[in-house]
Amino acid sequence: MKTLKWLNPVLAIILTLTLAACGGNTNTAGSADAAGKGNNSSAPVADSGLKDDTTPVKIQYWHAHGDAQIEGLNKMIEAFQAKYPHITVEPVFQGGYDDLHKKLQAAVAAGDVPAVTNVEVASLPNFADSGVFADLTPWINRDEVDTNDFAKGMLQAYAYNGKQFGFPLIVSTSVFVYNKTLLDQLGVQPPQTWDEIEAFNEKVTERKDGKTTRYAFAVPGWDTWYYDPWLINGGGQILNEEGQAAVDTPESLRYVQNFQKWIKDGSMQMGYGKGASDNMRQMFLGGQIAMVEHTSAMLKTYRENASFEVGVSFLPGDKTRTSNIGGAGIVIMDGASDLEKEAAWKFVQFMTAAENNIGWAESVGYLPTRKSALETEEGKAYFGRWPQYKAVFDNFDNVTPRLQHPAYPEFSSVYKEVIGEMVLNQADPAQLMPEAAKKMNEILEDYE
Amino acid sequence: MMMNSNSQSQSAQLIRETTAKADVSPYTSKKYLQWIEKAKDFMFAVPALIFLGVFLYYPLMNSVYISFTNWNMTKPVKKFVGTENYVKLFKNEDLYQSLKVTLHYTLLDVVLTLTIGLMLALLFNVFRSKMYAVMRGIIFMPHYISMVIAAMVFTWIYNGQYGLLNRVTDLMGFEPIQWLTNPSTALPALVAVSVWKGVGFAMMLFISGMRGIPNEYYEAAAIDGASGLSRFRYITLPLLSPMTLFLVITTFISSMQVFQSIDIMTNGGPLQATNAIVYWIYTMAFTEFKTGRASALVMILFVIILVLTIIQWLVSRKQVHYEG
Amino acid sequence: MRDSRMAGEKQHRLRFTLRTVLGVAVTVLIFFPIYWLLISSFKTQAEMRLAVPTLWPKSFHWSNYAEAFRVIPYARFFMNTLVMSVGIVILQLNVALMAAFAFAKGRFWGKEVLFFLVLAALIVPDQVTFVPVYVMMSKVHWLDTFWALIVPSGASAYGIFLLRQAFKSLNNDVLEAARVDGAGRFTILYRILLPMAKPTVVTLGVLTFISSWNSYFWPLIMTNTNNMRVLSVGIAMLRDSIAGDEAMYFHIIMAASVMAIIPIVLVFTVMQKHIVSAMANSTFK
Repeated sequence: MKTLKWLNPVLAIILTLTLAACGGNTNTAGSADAAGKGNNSSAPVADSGLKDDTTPVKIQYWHAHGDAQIEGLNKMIEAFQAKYPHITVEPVFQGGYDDLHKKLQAAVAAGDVPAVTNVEVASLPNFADSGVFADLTPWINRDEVDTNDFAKGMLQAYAYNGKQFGFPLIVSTSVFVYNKTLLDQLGVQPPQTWDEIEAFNEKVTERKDGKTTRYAFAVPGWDTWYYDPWLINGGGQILNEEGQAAVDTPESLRYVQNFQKWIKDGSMQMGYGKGASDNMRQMFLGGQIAMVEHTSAMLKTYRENASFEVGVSFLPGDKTRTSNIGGAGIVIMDGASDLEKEAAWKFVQFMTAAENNIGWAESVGYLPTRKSALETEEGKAYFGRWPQYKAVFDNFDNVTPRLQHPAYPEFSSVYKEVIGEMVLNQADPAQLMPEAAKKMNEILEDYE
Repeated sequence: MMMNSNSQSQSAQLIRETTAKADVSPYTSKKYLQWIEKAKDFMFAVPALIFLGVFLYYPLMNSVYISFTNWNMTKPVKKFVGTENYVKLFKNEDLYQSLKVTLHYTLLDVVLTLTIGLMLALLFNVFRSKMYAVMRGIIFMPHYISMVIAAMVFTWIYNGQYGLLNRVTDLMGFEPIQWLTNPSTALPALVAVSVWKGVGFAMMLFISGMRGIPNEYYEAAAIDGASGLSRFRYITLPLLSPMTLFLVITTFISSMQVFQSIDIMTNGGPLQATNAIVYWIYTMAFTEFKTGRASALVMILFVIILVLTIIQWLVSRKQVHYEG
Repeated sequence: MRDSRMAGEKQHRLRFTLRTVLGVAVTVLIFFPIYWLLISSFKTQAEMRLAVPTLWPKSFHWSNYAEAFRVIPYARFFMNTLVMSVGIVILQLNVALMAAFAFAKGRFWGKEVLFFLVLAALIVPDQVTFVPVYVMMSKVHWLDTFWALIVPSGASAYGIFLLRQAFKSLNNDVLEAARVDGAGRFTILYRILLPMAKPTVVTLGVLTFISSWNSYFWPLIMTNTNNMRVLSVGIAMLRDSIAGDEAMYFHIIMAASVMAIIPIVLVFTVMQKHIVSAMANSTFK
């Protein structure tokens, strides 16, 4: 009996802990209710009673705008608050996309979310799939927003399963940045189709004692974003119509087999791993690579640091000619209150409005997203200052969304590793791809 | 808590007084007083237990539960999936790769940190020399520089183009090495940072251990004509063994959890060459949105560390000499 | 006789000189990355990218520091880091002192099992506990406050273990004497045991301060605004913030890093003697 007395405090602790654990579980059930509530409110047309409501409201805007974009952002927020004096926007920098997403996940798990946030384009399906973002359609319908004014691909990139979850805010795409001074000297044009690449390599590559001293071009190996369009343009697919991995079909292998050939003959440079981006940029600036595929957001850096004239060319095409969208969009969190959501919607509209589009794009160094904005005087002046972007806007409708799939971040790393094996260990990608496809299908099983 | 215990002791006092007044049998009363004493002793452990319970064991139990679901942290519902997460992990060859990387890293880190730390302790254990005190201070310095900063400095030192290290290899007539993007050098490069940060601390502990060894042992050995090496082998090493065990276990546990340097220097790459378990857990939960699977991996890691720690402790218990 | 002694002394001195030469070499080697951090913080972007790195900056570019100051609200972050670190040290030491007292000198049921639970805490990484803790902090509205930065670190298994070892090695007679004199447990702990175990307590306080000052993951997760961020998070954010491309602005990141470590280096240089002797005298068994 006497030992039983001693059990009490211990039992009490264990009980408390267990109860606490159970408490945690009911908490998450609580956020289920919150999500359910959100769904109800997304009727086809949003409650217009709130549209002209001027109750003072403060919203947090979580973003990943780096230092170079802060000035532009602050100007926009100032103008927005002048237009809607009852709304206060508190911008909060949450680090790069990775850190921002991490914090968003934790915030959702805790049921305590900001009203409006950035989301990196490839992660949208994951969040949207969980019902974290508010569907914008009711507001779009209510305020009769002409979404057709957005570049089609850019708008699609922020839709998922037929719902529009956000608008494109800072949009980039991968392009070829080339050493115009050098190519003019050599009398060559950047290749516009795959067929032209061999001839381009022939003329531009320089070798000494069997070693390349100047590469014709470079494609980054560290991010699938750079070669997914090549895979597509070669006639291949990442996933087939049944949702199975198709990276090992002959069509899907065309690009990588070309890469392999070009790397072997010393005309193409491909970097892999951390630091490879910096390496590629320095080689380009130092004249060791004549043309590099990189994000359009880096154009400013290239222009400022190059001792030669910099040109931009759209990715060469074959069966198709596309390039993928990168960057981030602006979305509304479904867990915010209705009042906050209304304010957030006004903010989203303002940030992506046609009349602010050129100024915003130029201040942050990303692409304009509105067709009408390009036609204005302001738009024309913009092209005068940034002639390089013309190559992108001549192909405006070829800028397409990335493959949208919740498992994309996971399975893309599988075929990325094949590229890594090719770059680092001179492995044959055609041999490794079937194994990679198998592994991708195992990952995809979780999503059926 | 302090308040609580005070009032506790006051009430105990009260009970003591009342029980004394209420003429109960001395036997029960003594039992009761003992109970009170033990309860008071226990109260002192309570704050720590509450903190650990709320911030450690509760989250851990929560993870056990989540590891049997397919939760993704942002989804409102958790579906119970049984042992699926565990089965899939054990079927996934990446698990074995990740374990291999983690153990490889840990082994290198523990062995190098301790060996170099001990050698430094022998070298720098000089009394009454201001210069040596300063030198010890400098060697301890990396310990208080944050891993975030250390990892960034080393990233630059390892840089393939402008890095200092490649300048050294260049002077020695070697080709430049892409230290962090080469699968065979990335892991040792990470270990080097950890060893750099850890040796000063190990040295300090070894020195403090050495100073605790009574001089008579060495004097006796000197009379017996023992050489320096055998004095080290038969006196210093055995008497340092409790310290060594402490360092082995703490270094082991922290290297098994290596995360920060990977996050900054390699992101688990290249080709999973540095994809240690905690980093993998992290990407699984946050990039791949698989909180359930990641929690299962946490449990696997937990069990592995626990078992290995207990084994180390049991094996070394026979080797460790405690004075007296 | 005298000759041989002199020869022995000579040999001894030679040995000592060799030892010192080796010691200096090792010290220089270990200090080098810190030196590199320091001089890199004064270089220009162009100088950072020379094929042959310079061992001394061509000229001192204080503008790197100005730039770092512009992006990071240094004073605010410094104060936050300081308050957080001191708070954690005070809380952790008191919790650990009490627990160590209970586990070393107390008698109660389940002591061994509970102590094992305390030690097992060592093997749980932060990365696996923070989601439930974050949810908890959010529920009590502690996110983005010092509470969330300090309270979850209240108990340290490491500290409890070290102090328990220190207390165990102390003689029980003094305690018994005090108890007979009618001293309560708090008096015994804070007036008798604490002074006796001072080296270990100081060492522990210092080590806790270091790890709190440098902690990154926890403050990153638990704070949401610049008002509450700490230096290590600020540096990582700076890295993300300037063009998202660390290699381009490495000299500025280094300047910010120097600013983050200067306070802790100062504290240590001033207190070096005490810390080292405390460490040498503390019980690590």
